[in-house]
Amino acid sequence: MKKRILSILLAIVMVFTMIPSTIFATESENVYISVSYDGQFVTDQNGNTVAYATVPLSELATIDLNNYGLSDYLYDGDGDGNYDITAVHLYIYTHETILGGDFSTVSVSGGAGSIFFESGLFGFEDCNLMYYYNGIYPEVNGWGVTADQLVLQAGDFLDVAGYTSWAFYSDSATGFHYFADDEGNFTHNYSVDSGDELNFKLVRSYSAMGSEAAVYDEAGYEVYYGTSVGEAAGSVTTDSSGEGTITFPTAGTWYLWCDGGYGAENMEDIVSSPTCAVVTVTAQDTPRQPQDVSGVLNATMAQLAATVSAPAFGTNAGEWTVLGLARGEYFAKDHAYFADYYNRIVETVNGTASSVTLQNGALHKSKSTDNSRLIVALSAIGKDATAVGDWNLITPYDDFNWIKKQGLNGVIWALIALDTNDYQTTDITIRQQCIDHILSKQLSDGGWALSGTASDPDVTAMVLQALYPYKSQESVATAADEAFACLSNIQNADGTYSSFGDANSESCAQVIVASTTWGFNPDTDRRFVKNGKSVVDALLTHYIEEEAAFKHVAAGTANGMATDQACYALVAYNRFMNSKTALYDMSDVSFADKAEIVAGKPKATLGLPAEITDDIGKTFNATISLDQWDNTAGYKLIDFIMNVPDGLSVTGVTAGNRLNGGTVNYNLEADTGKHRVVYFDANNHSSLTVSGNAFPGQFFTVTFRVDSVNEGDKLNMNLSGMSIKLSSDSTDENAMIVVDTESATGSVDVVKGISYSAVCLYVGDDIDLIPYGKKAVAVSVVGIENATKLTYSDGTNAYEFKYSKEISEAAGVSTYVALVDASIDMAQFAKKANFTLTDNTASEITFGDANGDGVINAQDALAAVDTWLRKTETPSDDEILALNVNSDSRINTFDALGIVEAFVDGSEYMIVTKATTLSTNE
Amino acid sequence: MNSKTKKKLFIGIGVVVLLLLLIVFLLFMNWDKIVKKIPTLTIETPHKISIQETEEILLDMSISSFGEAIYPAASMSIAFDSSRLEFVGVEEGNVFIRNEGNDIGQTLPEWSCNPEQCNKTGKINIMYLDTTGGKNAFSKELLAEEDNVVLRLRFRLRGSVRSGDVYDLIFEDAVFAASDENESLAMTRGTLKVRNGKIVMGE
Repeated sequence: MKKRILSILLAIVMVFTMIPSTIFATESENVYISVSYDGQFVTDQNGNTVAYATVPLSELATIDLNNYGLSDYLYDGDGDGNYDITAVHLYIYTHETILGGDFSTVSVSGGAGSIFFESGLFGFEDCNLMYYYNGIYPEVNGWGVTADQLVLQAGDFLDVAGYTSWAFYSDSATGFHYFADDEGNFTHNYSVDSGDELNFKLVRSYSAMGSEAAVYDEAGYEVYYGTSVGEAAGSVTTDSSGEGTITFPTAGTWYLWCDGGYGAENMEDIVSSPTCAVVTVTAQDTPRQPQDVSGVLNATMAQLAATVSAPAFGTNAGEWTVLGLARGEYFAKDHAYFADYYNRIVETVNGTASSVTLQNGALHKSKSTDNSRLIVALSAIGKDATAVGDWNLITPYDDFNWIKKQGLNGVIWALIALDTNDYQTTDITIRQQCIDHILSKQLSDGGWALSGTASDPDVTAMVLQALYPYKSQESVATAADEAFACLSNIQNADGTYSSFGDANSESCAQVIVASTTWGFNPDTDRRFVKNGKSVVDALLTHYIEEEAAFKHVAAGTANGMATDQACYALVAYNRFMNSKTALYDMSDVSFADKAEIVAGKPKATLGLPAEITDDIGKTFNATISLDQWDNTAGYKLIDFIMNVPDGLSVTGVTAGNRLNGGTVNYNLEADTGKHRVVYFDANNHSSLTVSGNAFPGQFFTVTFRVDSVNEGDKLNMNLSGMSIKLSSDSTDENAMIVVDTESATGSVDVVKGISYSAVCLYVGDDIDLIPYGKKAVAVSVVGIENATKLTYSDGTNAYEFKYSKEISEAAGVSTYVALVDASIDMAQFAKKANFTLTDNTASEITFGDANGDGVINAQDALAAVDTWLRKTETPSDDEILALNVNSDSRINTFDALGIVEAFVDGSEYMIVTKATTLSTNE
Repeated sequence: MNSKTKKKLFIGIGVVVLLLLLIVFLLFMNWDKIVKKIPTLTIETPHKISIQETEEILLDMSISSFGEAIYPAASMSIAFDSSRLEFVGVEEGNVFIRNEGNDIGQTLPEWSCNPEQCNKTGKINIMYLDTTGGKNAFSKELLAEEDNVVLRLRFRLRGSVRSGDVYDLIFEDAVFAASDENESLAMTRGTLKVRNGKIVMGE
């Protein structure tokens, strides 16, 4: 039994003695080696470059120096009884396993601690080589460490560079190249996301026995990249700091390398080593493409325009709605929607500012945001806040205490408001006080809040909106960087933002405005995208398509404030996408027409046909329109003088359908051509009134008869005076309003035979059902019978025009309309050659008669509503012509109301007024 | 003609008569329903009015029924003699429209009308339009069993009225419009009947 046990023990001992008496190493521990000659990496037996080749320490552990006759170089540096793995092991492995050489051909000399490879190592014929250990020449106590005592640890890297020329010992450009990371440490690995730029740095390390190690930025050096070392897909040249950037075209493993370089003093000799780094390019999700929100935006604006039909001073149905619609360009700045709003604002400001004890234009003794909110809206519609009614809304901003009475919110909005039109305060330090105050309130997490220590997304975003104009201030720029980082950090996983505990649309809206203000796309910028959901996505999750409105929280219902803020946020985004100025950058707004609507007097326009024939007895009309009327004023009389050229006589003057209370009297003084018209109630002296609210409105139609004119004549006409009188007291300066007749002028060309002229009534803007590519054209034809069939063909496009009885009767000239390709030059519609007249009767268009049944009633008004609500199919061209009675670029509830007003008040449709007052070929 | 032939003739005539009676009976039984199927808009004619009357005269405009649809818009055009009658305006009736915005779910419609324009043209144009396209619409659920007054027309007599005169109030058009025009109650389509009203002048 004892013998059996002893034999087993002996067997175990024998097995253990078969294990090399060197060291143990784990497989996961590697070292790395690169071998180059004259600045190029050498290739292994498989043709691969030996550039930081990975060598497991476990492989080196199997190498027994005894087998190579190198037992003198066995080294136990730490005295633990185990021989260490040294560079000699790595050289043997590299020479044999990597390069496929026979180490027995290597000539080795020197004793322990001074091993010297005379020749043959790695195939080099001589001993002209250098080696760096972990980027520097290895030395201990000022003495170089030779390979036999250079103990390798996991992660070590060894560079061996051979040279033909011995200049590498002395040239100032000698050394080993390395890439460096952001902190300046040598690295052989970079990582970057696909599509992103890799920033790299190339340095040259130099050290030698007894000299201090130095690292130089390798400027102007060619760096190559490719999917395998030596096969360059491209290259970049480093800048003066040795840095460069590369964007890799695909994900995967890429390599970055440079060759060794020539000497500074020995310019034909290679004196430095190449280097290489592995670049891991990580595939990203498919880059987000910024989404088009114009559909949602347009529907939201249309809904707001319809439901907030009379915006007034206030946070709801007030300034924010106006801001969205103005900056979204839903209405033109001179649209009645804004004009009426401004009129209401003047009234409010006059009443409110006078009631505030400050008496300086403040609309509230402590809430400066009342002023700021209004200033923002007024700037959006091109109204000067320094002259609103009787007040200057900017004056109170000279008092910083008043501004900040409302806390941080007041200061933020003061800056935003003042910068909408570069309003100047008497105290020129106000802006900086605001900036400093805001910066002083920044929280440690980079954002801002009205209270507490945790940043609120709304307040942080609004601060960013306010500070943008001051980004050149270093403190502002730094704060903004921190604030955007904060916004990124506090974004929820679904892309939303939370304020007061609720993920909500308003917070998303403010972040979108802030982001676009600073020029960042909130839909694609990674800071605002979480789990594939951007803040724009998050905002849109609050949209209720059926109502074209937004919710405050996802589980809620449509909310006015949420809709207002979402609207102007989408406007901000849309402006950003279309390279327009930011939401609050109103440098694109013209402020030239300030307060004109209220302060200005009524303005008259004169509508005339472009042409008439020289046929004696033919008649045509001139229409006189006014842009405003006040039924409460008690006007008693209107009169005007019209200058009429020779050859015409007046056959009649009629008052417009909407004008009530008087009768028309007129006389054309033949000698002077002065045609005098007066409208009043001679019997009862009653007040004159006008039905409906739509302006401009037709007040008078003067019918002329051609008596003797000649082809080629130009008949100039104008109103030389028009007044509206309250009483007969001529000494009372308030008894008469002089109408502005400066624009009430025009001319008619006399032609012979059939002639055509055309005006453009509107061009579709693709927002509400009228496509971009279409425009409505009115063509007037003289010298024909009314309603003769008219077709157009220019060789490319062909249209059958619809006869408009309404326009024809208003102008006294046969007029047709059609919806045509918007790209056709208007001049084409004045060319006789493009038209064909046939004896057939033209089909007619009746504005407002959506269903074409010949009766305009509630069915037609409902059709306009349903069309806008998209409850019915996309309207045909004829339906567009019939429905767009207000002649803007859209079919919406304004057209529905236009139909109601025409039905109830007898108002003429805007499109008729427009057709008779536009200049030819406009 | 022999007796057999006569017998056959009597039986034949008898069958025909019975069939005719059956048809007449069925028509009689269902006539009322057939007639009532088409909603009717009526201007109720008041009793004879004295030419001395100085107070306003109210004429109810009532609807007999609605169809299955909802009607977000309605309008009426009524011709009258504005040289004899002064149209003062419209007064609310008792037919509600839906209103999702209030607690009771219904409200009275606000009619658009311009009396000045009506008197000028001699035509009363009245319109109701629900710009939400249906949330504030007329519907049969909001009709009572009877006496459904859509609105009331207010008149004053002018000095020109004369005893014995009859002033007609004639529908030129009327419609309760549904989004699907085929479901609309429209005078022009024959889906809405109208009964004109009149003001008869007494002493």
